[in-house]
Amino acid sequence: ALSRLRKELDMLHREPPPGISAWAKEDGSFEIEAVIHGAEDTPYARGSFHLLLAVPERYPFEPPRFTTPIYHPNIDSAGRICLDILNMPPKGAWKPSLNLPTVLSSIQLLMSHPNPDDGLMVEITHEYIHHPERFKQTAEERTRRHA
Amino acid sequence: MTDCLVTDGGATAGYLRVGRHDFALYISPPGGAGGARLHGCPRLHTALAGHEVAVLRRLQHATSVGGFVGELREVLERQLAADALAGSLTPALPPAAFYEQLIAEVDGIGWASLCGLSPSLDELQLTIDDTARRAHVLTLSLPPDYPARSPVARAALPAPFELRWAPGERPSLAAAAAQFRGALAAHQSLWDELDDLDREAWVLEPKHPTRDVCHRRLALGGHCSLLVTLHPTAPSSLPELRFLGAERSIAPLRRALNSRLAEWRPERRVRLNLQALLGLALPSPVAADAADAADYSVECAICYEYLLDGEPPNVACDGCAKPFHQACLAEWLQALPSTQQSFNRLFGECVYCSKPISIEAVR
Repeated sequence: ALSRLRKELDMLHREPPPGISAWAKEDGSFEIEAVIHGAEDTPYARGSFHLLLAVPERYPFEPPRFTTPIYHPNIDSAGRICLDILNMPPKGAWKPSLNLPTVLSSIQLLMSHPNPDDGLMVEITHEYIHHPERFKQTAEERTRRHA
Repeated sequence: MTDCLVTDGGATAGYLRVGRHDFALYISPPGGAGGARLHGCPRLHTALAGHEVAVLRRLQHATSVGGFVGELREVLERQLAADALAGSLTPALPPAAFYEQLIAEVDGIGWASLCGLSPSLDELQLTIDDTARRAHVLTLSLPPDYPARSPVARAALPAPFELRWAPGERPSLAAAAAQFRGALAAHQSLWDELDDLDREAWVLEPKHPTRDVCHRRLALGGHCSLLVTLHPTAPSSLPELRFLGAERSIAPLRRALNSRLAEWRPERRVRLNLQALLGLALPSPVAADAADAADYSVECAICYEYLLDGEPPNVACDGCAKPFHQACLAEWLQALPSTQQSFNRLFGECVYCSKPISIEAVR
């Protein structure tokens, strides 16, 4: 697992997906720090989101785990991200063909296009569906304050 | 309103006049197989396009032929009115003089610089070199009454580009190209700096920058990178800089940069200024090529290793040809409830293309 992780970090370094960078917290550690820049035209624009990932020992047979709060319908206050590729089948869609670059890109995409049908945060989801303007404002404000 | 409909033995045939159009139609008697049916001339079919099902349903439910014909007339009147409206919205072709003018003007500036043309000839693309022989593309959308009205220009420039005409000046392609050259001249020093970065530094993104993009993400080595955004109007001044990477690696770089900010010299290349301020040599694109040269295609697509316990990948997917170590694929398939096992074989799906794949469970 460690050697695959090292190669993925190398890939992330050599050909990072736009707006994404990631590195090991310490050399040879299973903890990864990543920064995702909010995509333009979203309330998260100009914010940098620091994500902490824990890579399990059985990686890539198990998905990485995330722990960072973002004001988003699909991310709870403990940083749990509701994204099917972050769970094991049959509930989720994790596969060893995915890797850190694709997972981080998916999170960036989720940030620009929340999925209200699968909301984790009831209140934020409600706000996103019924008061999109207010959702945008709060998300922008949180982005300025925290990211 | 002169319809001419004859009913004979249950069937109705004749002409229906709606507006200025006559539609031939034939309604078979409702007693036949499948109930009443409507047959009509091609023009009737065209006019009813998209409403056939509704019309047929009205026919099945109509109590009398007269009642149905009345409904049919209403539908046709509505359709014809909508068509007339749509017809007035689609613009007519420009006059022949438009094309003559266009050909004469392209003759004037040279056909070699014409690099694209829309099928309706109302949009053309010109390649125009700047003073440093960088090729730029200018897209001009011509209004149908060109040259009475100005074309609309689009181009990849760091600043918006709009064509302006002096009072009394007639728009022409040559003049538009000249204005574009003027706009290009204003950005020469910006592109000189960006080209220098693209040529001499290891640029992580954008991979294929267009001329309107003013930022570059440069690899610094050690899993760190620097996002450099040049000011379009003052490219040689200190750009917006943002470090990306582990805090412990970028902290010393940031300190070095901040302590030497005053040493930024506008007359020096941005790349050389960055090297001086950061106190390091920016990795060259050669380093990127060397890293790219590493061939990943023969490695196991699950563990990303070539050898596992001294064994190369010994299974490949029939669909996508991705190589796997039998042990890696077996470990994944055995973790899935959807995998079937029969004697000593595992039946599952390829991790990449989801095609069925089967392997030995244990060696």
